Amino acid sequence: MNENQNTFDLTDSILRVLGIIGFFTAVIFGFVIAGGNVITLVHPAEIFIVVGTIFFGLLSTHRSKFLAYLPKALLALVRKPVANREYCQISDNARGYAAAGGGMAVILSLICTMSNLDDPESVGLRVAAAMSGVFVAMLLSQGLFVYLRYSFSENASS
Amino acid sequence: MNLVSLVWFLLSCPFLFLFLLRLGNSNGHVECPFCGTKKKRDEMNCKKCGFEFLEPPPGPFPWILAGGALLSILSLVAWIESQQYL
Ligand SMILES: [Zn+2]
Repeated sequence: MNENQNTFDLTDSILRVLGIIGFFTAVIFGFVIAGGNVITLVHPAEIFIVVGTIFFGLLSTHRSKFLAYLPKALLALVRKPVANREYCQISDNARGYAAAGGGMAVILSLICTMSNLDDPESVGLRVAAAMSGVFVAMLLSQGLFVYLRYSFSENASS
Repeated sequence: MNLVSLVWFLLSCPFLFLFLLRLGNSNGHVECPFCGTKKKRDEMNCKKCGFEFLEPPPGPFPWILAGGALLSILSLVAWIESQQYL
């Protein structure tokens, strides 16, 4: 674990950013090609549940370490971070909270749908909203936190 | 509208979600995500660096998830067909 963080590797950063943007673009672009409207992916209530669960879950578990982690994680999106067990652990826990948040968003949407079954027009929309909560949770977990967990690990710096 | 297939879908879609989320976890219970030390089945912490593992040990659970995921997709197909969108 050497602390030569100031050796800025341009190729590494470009490939990193390309990879992350490519991941999200591939998913969204594929959705658009399939004839989806990006607006229909945005269901504020589900996004709020998922992102809120991750944020406040990590805040309660890791407190000040989580606040220190936030800028480091943002920086890790564009340059190679120094291996850090705490930050690796927080990224891993974030996946757990994403799963919990996504699961709760689905179950709450399920309750919403069940209690409005007499309104056939809205059932399709509510099912779509439930699915979008799953989608946001998976995108964050697999696209972002797997990346962060690996970036902060010792395996990444060897 | 066919409510039975919709209710089945809603009940089983959490399984689909958990199943999809766990697809990326295939090596999560083999070695420590931080230092790469090999991990035993029932260990909760990494012996070398102290990393806490979140993934529970594998058991019959993945098959329940896979079954639930399949059920949710089949019931969704049944529901969409009952809507005569196709
Ligand atoms: Zn370890």
